[in-house]
Amino acid sequence: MNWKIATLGLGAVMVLLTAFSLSNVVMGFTGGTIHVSIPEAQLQGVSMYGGSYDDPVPVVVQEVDQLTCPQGQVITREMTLPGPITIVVELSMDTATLSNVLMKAQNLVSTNGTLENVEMWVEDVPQGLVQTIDGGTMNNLETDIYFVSMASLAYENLKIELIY
Amino acid sequence: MALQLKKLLPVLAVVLSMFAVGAMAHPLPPPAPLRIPFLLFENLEQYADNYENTSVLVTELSWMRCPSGQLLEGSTFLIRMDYAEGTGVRMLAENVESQAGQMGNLRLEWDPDKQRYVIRADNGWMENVYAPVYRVVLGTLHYENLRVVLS
Repeated sequence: MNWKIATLGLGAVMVLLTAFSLSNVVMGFTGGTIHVSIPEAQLQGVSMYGGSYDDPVPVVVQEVDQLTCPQGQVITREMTLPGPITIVVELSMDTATLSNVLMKAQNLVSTNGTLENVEMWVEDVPQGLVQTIDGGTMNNLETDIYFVSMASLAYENLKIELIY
Repeated sequence: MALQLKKLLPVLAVVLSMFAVGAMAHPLPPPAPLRIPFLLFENLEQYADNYENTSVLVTELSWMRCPSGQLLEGSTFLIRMDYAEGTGVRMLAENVESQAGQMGNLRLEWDPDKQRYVIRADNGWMENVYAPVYRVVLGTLHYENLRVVLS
């Protein structure tokens, strides 16, 4: 009888240790933000408004009908693996065209640009402020995002690298 | 008991109608403060109007330049830029304040099409502009150092 209890106890400890280890790995991949850097972003059909991601994290939601990056884009994600080891995963492409993009961002900056038919108005929270843009070019666009989805992505020369 | 209920009915009807009116007349969300340290403009037109059952001050500019940038403080996020130049500007604000300014060929005239008095100026500048805005429209916008950050 005692050996049965001991085996069950050991089993439970093993399960807990495995769970902790896995959650540690998983935690390295989730949470935080992904940095996107686009030297030249040509946009069509943009709407921007307040929202939330994984409630209650407040975000700036951006919807873009078409996003063309003639000089490509670089996407970087810093991750901490058990050890702890910090690595950076970098995805880069020489050119990229994305359609029906949905981004949930923490912030967005751009050094300069020209936008056409900009419209901004106030709405109730969570949207708060809503902005629509028919089209334009944003140079040196940098954004930290929690989430991104798109209907399609066409690219040239994709590279995925791990930087230690 | 029935008589007391009959007496209460008109009161109840009034209270319910107040709720119904309140539900229909959805108030506008609070306006977003717009701050411009220095504004240069051409062809200003300003008049009072109604926007979603709220009185607003409409400001139209054919051209504007904000050499020291501008800041729009939304309830969810802020839009800040160090330099802005735009055409076809239309702004619906609760009010407009400015510390100092100069307007060329300023006139207050009756507009027969709009059926109201309109303030017009050919060109000018305004310093420390503060306007809580409900809506802003720009035909084109050129900016430098744009930052969109959470409020």
